Amino acid sequence: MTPRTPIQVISDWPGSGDRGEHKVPTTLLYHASGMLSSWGFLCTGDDDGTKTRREFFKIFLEAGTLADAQAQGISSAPSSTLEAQRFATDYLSHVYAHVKESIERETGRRNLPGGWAGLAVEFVFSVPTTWTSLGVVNTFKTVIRSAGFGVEGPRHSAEVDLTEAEAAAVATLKTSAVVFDMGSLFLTVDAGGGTADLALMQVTSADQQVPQMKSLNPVTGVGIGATMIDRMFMKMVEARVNAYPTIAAALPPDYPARLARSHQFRTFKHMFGERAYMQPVFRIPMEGVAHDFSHPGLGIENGRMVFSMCVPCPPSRCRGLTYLDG
Amino acid sequence: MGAPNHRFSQLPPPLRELPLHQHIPFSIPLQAHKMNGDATAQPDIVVAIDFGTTYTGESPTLYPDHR
Repeated sequence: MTPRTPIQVISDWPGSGDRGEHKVPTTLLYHASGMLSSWGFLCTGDDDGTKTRREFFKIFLEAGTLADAQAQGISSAPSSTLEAQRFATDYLSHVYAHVKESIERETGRRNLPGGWAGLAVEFVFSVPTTWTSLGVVNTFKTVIRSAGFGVEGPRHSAEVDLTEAEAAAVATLKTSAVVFDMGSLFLTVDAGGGTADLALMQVTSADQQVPQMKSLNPVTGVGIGATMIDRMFMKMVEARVNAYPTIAAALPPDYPARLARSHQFRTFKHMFGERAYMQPVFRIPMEGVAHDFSHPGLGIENGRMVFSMCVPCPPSRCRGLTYLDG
Repeated sequence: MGAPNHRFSQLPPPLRELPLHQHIPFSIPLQAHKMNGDATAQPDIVVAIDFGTTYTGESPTLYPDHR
């Protein structure tokens, strides 16, 4: 048996450069012909305006969610759950290829016949807490196998296991600095990109090696996630730009989304709250805008759009907090 | 190894049919060490995939009813 090694997190995703990103964007770009052009970080720089960007497709594996999106007129939503399956399969196929390459390289099997096909490899996936239908879980299982997970060798397997909320609870139990005793209660809140997942758990075994717990109520997920921050940011940029039609005409129509995808905005978002990043104003470089371009009305200084950290709430909405605004 | 402690009956009905392990199988970030006591059954490699939502763009209000 291979000795147990610490968890290795893949952070050399294609196109991510030397940033050491632990996450790769769930993004695909397709040619007009329907052929896939790029995935993940590689989509950056590949978007020449002629290609179709696909994101957020996992949740559209569920028919109800897709119907909601279509009812709202979301143009980027797939036309059917079958199309969502194709996007998810395309994306996960590339994830699989990269995971395979990385692990074969790290284990010295990259150039051996068969690579890792002879090893016992188990792939484990969690499922969104909001997926309560066995049908969509089975669809997801089909997708992951079609993408290559669990089928390359006789001892390869792929499982769909805990919900994301349960997985977060296990992480808390296994890795928290807090010592849990028998009977301890804890609530995990996994605030993710699309949903916030809640799990109220009680420790039933405090064994350090094999801790155990039980859920005290059904795990739940709500549709509140970090993507809403992106959406509000884009609305703010859109409002500014639209106030100056001549400027708006000179920018690509998806400029707000491009700015929200920028490395600088994501850094501000991810680090918000950390003392070193809490500045009175945030300056986000504008790709394609000259470094000496300034426009007070738009809040652009030397090619960077400027945002103040916060302003007081309008009295009608004030709850003693502030909110992000231009 | 103790008895399973997940209360399957408290999960939403469809999820009871998922192949949940007897023992807590995951560590994190996200899920990686199998905690099965039978060492001979250990896989050589466990790959955990957190297929989440990293998205920026036209964003729908996807779960308005908290379903």
